[in-house]
Amino acid sequence: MATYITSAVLLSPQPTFEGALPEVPFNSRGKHLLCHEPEYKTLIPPARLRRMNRILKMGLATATQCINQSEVKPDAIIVGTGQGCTIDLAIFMRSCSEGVEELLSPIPFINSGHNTLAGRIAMDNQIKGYNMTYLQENTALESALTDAMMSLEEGKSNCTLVGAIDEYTQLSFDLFDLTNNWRKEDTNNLDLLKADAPGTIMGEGAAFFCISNQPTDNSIEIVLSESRLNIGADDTLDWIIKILGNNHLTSNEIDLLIVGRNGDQRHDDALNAPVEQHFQQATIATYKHLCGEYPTAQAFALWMATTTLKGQELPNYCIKRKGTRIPKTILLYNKSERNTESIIVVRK
Amino acid sequence: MTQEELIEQLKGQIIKNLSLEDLTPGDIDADGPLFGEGLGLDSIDAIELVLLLEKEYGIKVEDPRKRREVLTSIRTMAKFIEANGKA
Repeated sequence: MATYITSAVLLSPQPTFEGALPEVPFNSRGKHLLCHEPEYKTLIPPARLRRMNRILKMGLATATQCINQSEVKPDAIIVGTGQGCTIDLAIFMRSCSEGVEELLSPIPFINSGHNTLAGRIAMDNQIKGYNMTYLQENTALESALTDAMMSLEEGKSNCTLVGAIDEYTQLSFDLFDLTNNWRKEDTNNLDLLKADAPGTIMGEGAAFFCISNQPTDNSIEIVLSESRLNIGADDTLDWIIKILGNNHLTSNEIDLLIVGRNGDQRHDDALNAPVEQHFQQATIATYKHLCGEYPTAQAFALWMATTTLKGQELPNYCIKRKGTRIPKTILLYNKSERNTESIIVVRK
Repeated sequence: MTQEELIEQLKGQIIKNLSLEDLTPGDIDADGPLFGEGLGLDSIDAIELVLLLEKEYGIKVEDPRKRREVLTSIRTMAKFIEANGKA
């Protein structure tokens, strides 16, 4: 059974919440990028806002916008997040470690669970069906998508809201800095993929997609979502070709390949060049210079693919190699130096 | 500290601890109900207020009936703090 994206909304360091990539991309110099956030009071009742931390505001605003834009209303929610509600978790854990457990404030505890966001969206939008959160770091989005597609296929849901969210926090930045994830020097994000330097910049984003088993006028078919742990095996291309074949696709049918290059010169070519070289006919696009690196960053690419298939032209600042064909079938490929890799295919 | 000064202090602490950032102390009626009408607080706020009394003033309110009485308004909270000699 086919599944379709009926609406897609992205909150990112670019002004994408309005529905398109800008003509001139936002750029800043530093080691991280923060989202271009909307005025939350216009989207969420102030009485509900007051107990929400930043990631909940980002997620609820994006999810609500996505539900409002979908012709089919979701009856289930699946969220993928690599890091969850880190800030409140840290507040809660710090309070515990300071030895005053009998005086713990309930709000950081309530807001510290990874599934807080999916629960909050369900309560605010009265979505009483299946509710799940996936936490598989770099493949949390793909796991959420796979589950949604299976739920739709099995008839457990007619439309599922799928989200992917991670926020920048100083705690996460410092933790991943221990493994030298980040650039040591401040970097302009638009130069991220050009600079010959180790490390990348940290980013964040919230993306939500309504996925239905019924097509609508402007819906995009989501053909597959697969991920795996790949430790040392040099068979990425075989894996991709096999999955495409399982879904009755050939490499030649891919018109646009969106890859997860993040500017880390230690890994970028090794992780991406073989795939880029294989899809000779395809245009190649990149995106992490726009949003930074975070576990669910491929959601930015999925939103980009969705808007491209809906007719928006891909800006030149995203294009690494220009092909000749109008994109009708798009492959997203993301591999991290932490041994996970994933692919998603969407088409008009 | 006078009762009025204590009320102003409590208003500031409640705004901060309950994330009522849209309010200023001047917006809050010291005699208005904290729950339901008035400030419109809920059960989670009630826990925060009990914690506030304990953290800021060192007063434990263990009897649930007493809590209901103390947390009627900001003035009843102030009177309770004074009665416990913590103002």
